[in-house]
Amino acid sequence: MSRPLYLTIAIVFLSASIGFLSAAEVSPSGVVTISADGCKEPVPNAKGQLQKPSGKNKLATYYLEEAVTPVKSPPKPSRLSSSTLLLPHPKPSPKGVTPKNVSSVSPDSTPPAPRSNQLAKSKNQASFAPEESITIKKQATRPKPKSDDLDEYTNITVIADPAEPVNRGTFWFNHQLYKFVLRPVSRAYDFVLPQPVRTSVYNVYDNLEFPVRFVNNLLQLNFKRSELETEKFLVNSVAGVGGIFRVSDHIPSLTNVPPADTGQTFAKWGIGHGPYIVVPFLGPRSARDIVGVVGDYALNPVTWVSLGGASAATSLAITCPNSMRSVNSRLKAYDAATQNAIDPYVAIRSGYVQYRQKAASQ
Amino acid sequence: MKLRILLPLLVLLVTFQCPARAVDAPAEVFLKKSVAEVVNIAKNSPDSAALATKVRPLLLNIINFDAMTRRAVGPGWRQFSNDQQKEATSLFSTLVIRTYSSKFTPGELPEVIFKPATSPAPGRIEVPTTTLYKGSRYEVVYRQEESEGWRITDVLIEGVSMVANYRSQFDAEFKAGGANSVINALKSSVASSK
Repeated sequence: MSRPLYLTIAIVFLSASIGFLSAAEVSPSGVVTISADGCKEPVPNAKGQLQKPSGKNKLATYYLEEAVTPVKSPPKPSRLSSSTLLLPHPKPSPKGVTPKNVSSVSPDSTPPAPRSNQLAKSKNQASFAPEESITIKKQATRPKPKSDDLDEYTNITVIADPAEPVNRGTFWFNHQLYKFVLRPVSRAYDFVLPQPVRTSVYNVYDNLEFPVRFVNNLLQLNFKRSELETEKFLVNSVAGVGGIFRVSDHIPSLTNVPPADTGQTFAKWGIGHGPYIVVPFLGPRSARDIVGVVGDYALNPVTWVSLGGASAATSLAITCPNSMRSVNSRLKAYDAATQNAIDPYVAIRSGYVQYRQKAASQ
Repeated sequence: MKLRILLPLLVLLVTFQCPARAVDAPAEVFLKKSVAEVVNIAKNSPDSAALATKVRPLLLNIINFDAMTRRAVGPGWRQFSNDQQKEATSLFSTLVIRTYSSKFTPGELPEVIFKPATSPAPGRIEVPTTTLYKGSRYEVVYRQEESEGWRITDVLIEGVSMVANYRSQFDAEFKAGGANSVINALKSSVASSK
């Protein structure tokens, strides 16, 4: 755009500004908003002519290309003195982003006063000499900030935690329980049983939980996975000697069958998390998953043995290793989430809800 | 005659396939090489503290800690001064490196099975893996972005994003006391021996 054209638009624009500044809002980011009611003169188009916004578009937004510095010279007696067009410096963006498509020229580089001061001054004096040029271009695209990746994780899954103070108390109690009771027990378990044996114990009880996965896959109408779970159970029970060895891990079609549980089924049915609750001994749960756990217990054959009239000794012999493997894996997950955390409570809550979200999406 | 028709089709196929390979392959190659290097260092480390020290220079090249820290803090990052941003990035890097080093037990090496990568957006790639470690299987997804190579920007273990997890923690800190609060919390966490 040539210099005379700048001047033309500047003069027309400054003329247009007289009397409508109350309706012309200038934001610190260099955006000028002109309301239709306040615009006595038309708004500039690409050819430098001004056209009044019309129809439903009562507001038109423009972007400054460069910073505009208020002139410090005393106000000149001109028709501008009755009102002011004040275009502040754009707020310095983090990466030096400058809004585009509109330019302004000023020889003075005095730092701008705070906006409130500028606006106060603007009522009494002109900020620009008439010969200064200000150019605007209609409906420039808002410049995209370079650091927009800051919003990447804005939509992370959250869970309502209305009883946070109580939950934090229970969390503290569980932490002491882990620290002083369960961790020493877990270490003893690790010491007594070598890794291959611990893995076998884990595999046996995991295999026994087949009904939980099978029934929930059926409830989710995922018949293919129910079929795969059945195959997996048969293979591990027969070839894996009662589930001691996970032979299914060597069969590609059975390697990555996602787990299924009752809480996940509720999620698939569209039931939300409900409030977050830290359960003593058990740890974090959503209200939905607390109900789900009841379903999982009911579907677990280990529970059937315990409640089916077996002697206390038999019941203990069967449930104890299962509890140990459960405690062991829960402690590992707890440690992984809380070690090096800023706030272990929030870290566990966030980890839990993300983990359950993934289960629900599988 | 058939050859005349088939030849342009073949040329088209090759033309369309080449860019996809050119984009995807380097990211996966980079990740596999990086994981192998980390495992190799872990093999020769007596404990997790030594591993953290040894693996740091390598991880600084593999992981985009700038992006990770920025995203873990979120929009509040704009209110950090340059010095605060540098300090937060350095502290967060230390924390992340220590977090992952602490997961290794000397003598136990993970086996990583790589699955086909997906590209959620141009310049971004997600590589799902299954990691077998100490008798357990973990689903680990590496998120990579193209900036000075295909560096890692997030790691998801069993669906739990590390950046999202820290984001939820930093949000509360930032609301409580701004940039200083976040940096103090990081310092406290780095200094503590939990």
